[in-house]
Amino acid sequence: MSNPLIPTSTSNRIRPEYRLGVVLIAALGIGLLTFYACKFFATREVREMTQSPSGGLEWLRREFHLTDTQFKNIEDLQAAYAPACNEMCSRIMEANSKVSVLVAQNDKMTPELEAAIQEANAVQLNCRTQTLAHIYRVSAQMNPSDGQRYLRMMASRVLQPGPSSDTAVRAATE
Amino acid sequence: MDDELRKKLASWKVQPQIPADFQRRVWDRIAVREARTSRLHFVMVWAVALMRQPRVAVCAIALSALIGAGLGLAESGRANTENWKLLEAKYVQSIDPNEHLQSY
Repeated sequence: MSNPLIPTSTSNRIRPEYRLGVVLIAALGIGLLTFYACKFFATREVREMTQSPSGGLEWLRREFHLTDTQFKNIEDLQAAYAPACNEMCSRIMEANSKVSVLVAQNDKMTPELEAAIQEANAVQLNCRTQTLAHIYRVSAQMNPSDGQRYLRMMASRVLQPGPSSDTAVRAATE
Repeated sequence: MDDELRKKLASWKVQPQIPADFQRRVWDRIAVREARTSRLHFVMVWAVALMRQPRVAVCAIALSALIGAGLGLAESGRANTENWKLLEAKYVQSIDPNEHLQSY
């Protein structure tokens, strides 16, 4: 037989007037815990992808359902294209800064400034052509439906650029 | 100076204007407050009595966990969409020199 003076369960130990508070605090604590636990585990995969340097390619693999072979081929294409992309980037920067310098130096249109603008446009045209060619090569590696979707998505981003992707990247990282 | 002040204070008479229904209004306010307090007291007593039943307390905690999980999943869906767009932007940056240029 148990001693009635010794409490036998947790609920007996808590004074009835405090029980409501204890239950409410426990419910709130468990609610918050499950909220953060669910959020942490459900976002972990994509969060890790954003932190990885190859996150962009990993996005491509999942978004367009690439097989390992397709992914490997696209990775090779990307590796071959990267130096050309960097080179184009430098040429655009150079041509734009030349235009900027001439605009600052002149107070009216000069043949030199006109030539610089035409050169910058030519560089842009060349870069867009090369980028589009790369997009075609990548889409050719995909399944036809995914390839078409990729082509539409990338062509719209490259040929009719809206707000820069960098705006989105900065907004998300800040 | 003190005498003068004392005289003025002695001659000072306050004639408060008390409304005719002053007493009734005071009692009305007391009644309203008592009704409010007793309603709150009733709710508290009811809640305490309810939580005395372990089954109800467990249900409250389980419900809270369910709500937390639901909100957590909804929030993670929003965060994943945002990060997915960020990854798309990262990829576009890696193939488009104009976009790449913006990162400098």
